[in-house]
Amino acid sequence: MRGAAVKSTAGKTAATLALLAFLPGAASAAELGRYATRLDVNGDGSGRSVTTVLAAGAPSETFEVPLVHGGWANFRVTEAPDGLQVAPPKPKAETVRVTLPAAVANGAVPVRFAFAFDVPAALAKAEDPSNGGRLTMPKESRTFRYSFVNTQAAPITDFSVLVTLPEGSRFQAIREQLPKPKKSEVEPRVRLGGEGGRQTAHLQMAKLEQGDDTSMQLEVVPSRRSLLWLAAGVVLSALYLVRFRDLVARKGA
Amino acid sequence: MAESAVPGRGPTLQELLDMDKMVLSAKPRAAQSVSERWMRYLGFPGGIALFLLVYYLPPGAGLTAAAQSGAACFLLALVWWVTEPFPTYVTSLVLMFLLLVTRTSAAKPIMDVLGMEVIWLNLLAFILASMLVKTRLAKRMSLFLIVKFGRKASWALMAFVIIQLALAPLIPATAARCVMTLPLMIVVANIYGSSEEHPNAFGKNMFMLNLAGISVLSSISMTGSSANLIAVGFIQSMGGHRVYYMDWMRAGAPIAIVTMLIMWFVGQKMIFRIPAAEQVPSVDGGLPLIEAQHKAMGPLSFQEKKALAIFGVVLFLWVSDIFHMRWFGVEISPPFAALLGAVLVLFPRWGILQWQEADIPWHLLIFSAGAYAGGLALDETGAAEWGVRALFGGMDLKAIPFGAAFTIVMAVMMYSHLLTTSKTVRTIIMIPIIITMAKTLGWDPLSLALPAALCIDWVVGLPISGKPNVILFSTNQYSVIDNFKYGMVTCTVGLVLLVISAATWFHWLGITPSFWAMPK
Repeated sequence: MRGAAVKSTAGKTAATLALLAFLPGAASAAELGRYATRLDVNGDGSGRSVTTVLAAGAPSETFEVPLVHGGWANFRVTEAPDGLQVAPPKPKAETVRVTLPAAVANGAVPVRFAFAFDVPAALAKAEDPSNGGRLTMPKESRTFRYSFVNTQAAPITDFSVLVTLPEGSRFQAIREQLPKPKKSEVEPRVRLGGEGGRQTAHLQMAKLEQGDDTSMQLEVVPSRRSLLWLAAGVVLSALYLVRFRDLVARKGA
Repeated sequence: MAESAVPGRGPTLQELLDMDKMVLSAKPRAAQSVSERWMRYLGFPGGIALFLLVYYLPPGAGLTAAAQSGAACFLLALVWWVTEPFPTYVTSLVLMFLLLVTRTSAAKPIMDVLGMEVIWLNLLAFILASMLVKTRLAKRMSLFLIVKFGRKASWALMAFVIIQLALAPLIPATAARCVMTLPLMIVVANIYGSSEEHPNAFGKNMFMLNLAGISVLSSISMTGSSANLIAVGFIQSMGGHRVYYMDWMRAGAPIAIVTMLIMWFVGQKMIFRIPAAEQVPSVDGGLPLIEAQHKAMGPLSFQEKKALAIFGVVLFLWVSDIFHMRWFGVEISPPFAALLGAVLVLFPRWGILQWQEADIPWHLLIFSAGAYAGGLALDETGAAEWGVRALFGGMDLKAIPFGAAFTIVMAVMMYSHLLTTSKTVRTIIMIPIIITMAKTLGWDPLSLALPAALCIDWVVGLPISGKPNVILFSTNQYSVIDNFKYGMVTCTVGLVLLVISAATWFHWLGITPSFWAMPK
């Protein structure tokens, strides 16, 4: 997802971390028990993202929740308990400021809220042939890229992103899935699946501390395959059966 | 292979022992029966049909397009390797090309397989084997074997079981073990009347028993193969159990050794029954002539002593690898130990061989490269893992007692080698899944993972299942069907012994729970 992608360069992360010390929420005791995003990609390459968060903290505590950076539009809160305040982020903001309700039981019961936004360009053209460069992928390929950095002090216990492709598309290959799973992790970082005839990719990671990042990059192609292989296979088989029939001919025939 | 010098009469002992003529043939093996000819004829379109079927199947939800293409390519190659419409190395080249054009793998990883450690080890081991042939050490050892154990074919076969049993803990590389003993196998098979042109029951028993010995006996110790050690690592990191050398050996050695004894007996009595005529050497003059020939060789020549010394250096480096870091500050891996041996063998003036005298069967290396490229593609695209998860996911193992679940898991592990070409890849895919499954079912991970790890080395079902399989198949003394039949019996014997052990021996050792216990 070109617009929503984060370039997780070390320099940027370091700079972000340095800034964190001066942010009001940096000393927050809040914790995000769950940060689950669901992104439905449309046939035209745009998408709609819904993120559900389970947050625990002190009454009226304010903290920043990382937002997928850049490339989003039409931010809206889709689910929030009474008293929870979500400050509408400015365009291209990388976080959203959340204030827990005053009546919340001091961290004992997590508060669930959700926000949604549109992603104008979730699928990007893999390569642009117009600039004269050599193509390394077929021209119908698209790239889906997602990366996330926990820039905030609040740790995320359970992070996941589920991406659903439009009908008629499928993943050609998982080009990147980071960080590499540890030996103790059984599940791969990215697992493919399906929902209602549409292919999905599920990125998951446990315990994202401040500064930790995770990402995936997948190549997307049309589901329908060329019939060239079928034609070639049939012709070759027929030729072989004719030209090599002496293999099974009776002696003297 | 040796060829009879004069048509119409049997080979003399001298001709049988002329090992310089025994090169690993690259010419295609002739189909031996009507059914084999039909297999070849239908194998070509059959492979293509399977490719097209898998390639055009509706996209599996959990599979990438690359994984689906990879599975299609691999199945095509598998059918062609087994039915042999082309020589196996041509099929490997076709597979490598298909992996690229179906966008399963990029060019570099496909080409890189020829530089893999295992390919180097094969190449260098063949140079060392050529040294044994040229210096007549192989001939001397073959004659010694026949003189000591060759009064009856059964005992000659038993001698090879003992040789493989002795070598297994010393040389962890199965290909090296195979190449070192191959000249002996060919000569002894020849002496008992089995050749490329006229393979007989003794020859089939000889090659299949050695194949089983090389593979199965690797499971005696956890250092028997690198895949064993990978499994031990998984059991520790994911299962929380440290498996010590003796833990593995107590569990694995009885099963491997008993299986070999059973196969020694069953092979010659039931699978490839050896008639009375093949029970004695089929050489004019019989055993006395062989004894005379052995004596006539006299004491060890200087060249033979030199070959022994070089082989000793390599063997020493192979068996002492755990001390290398302490001694040399660097670990000399098996291919590099063989490389040192090759340098000594080929050294100008002081060495033993000229380069052109080394019998390096490049067709085998190309075959291995293709098989590895296919296997790695299945692993890297996630196709293999998807298949295993789909298989286990379709079974309700929570509703059955431990013994039944154990039997299913071991059967999958044992026979899954038919669909892979690398023990390492199979281990990396299967063992973590089995550990997770054991935890989910509430069983101790060790109870399923350690016995499953004991099956890693049992790759005996097909000529493409492992490197020794490829090497021995190149002798053209048995067919794919012979290999499959013998391999399946071996695996089934092993599986039955494993299940019996789960109910008895493993339970007493504290590895498995009660056979009839239900999941918690």
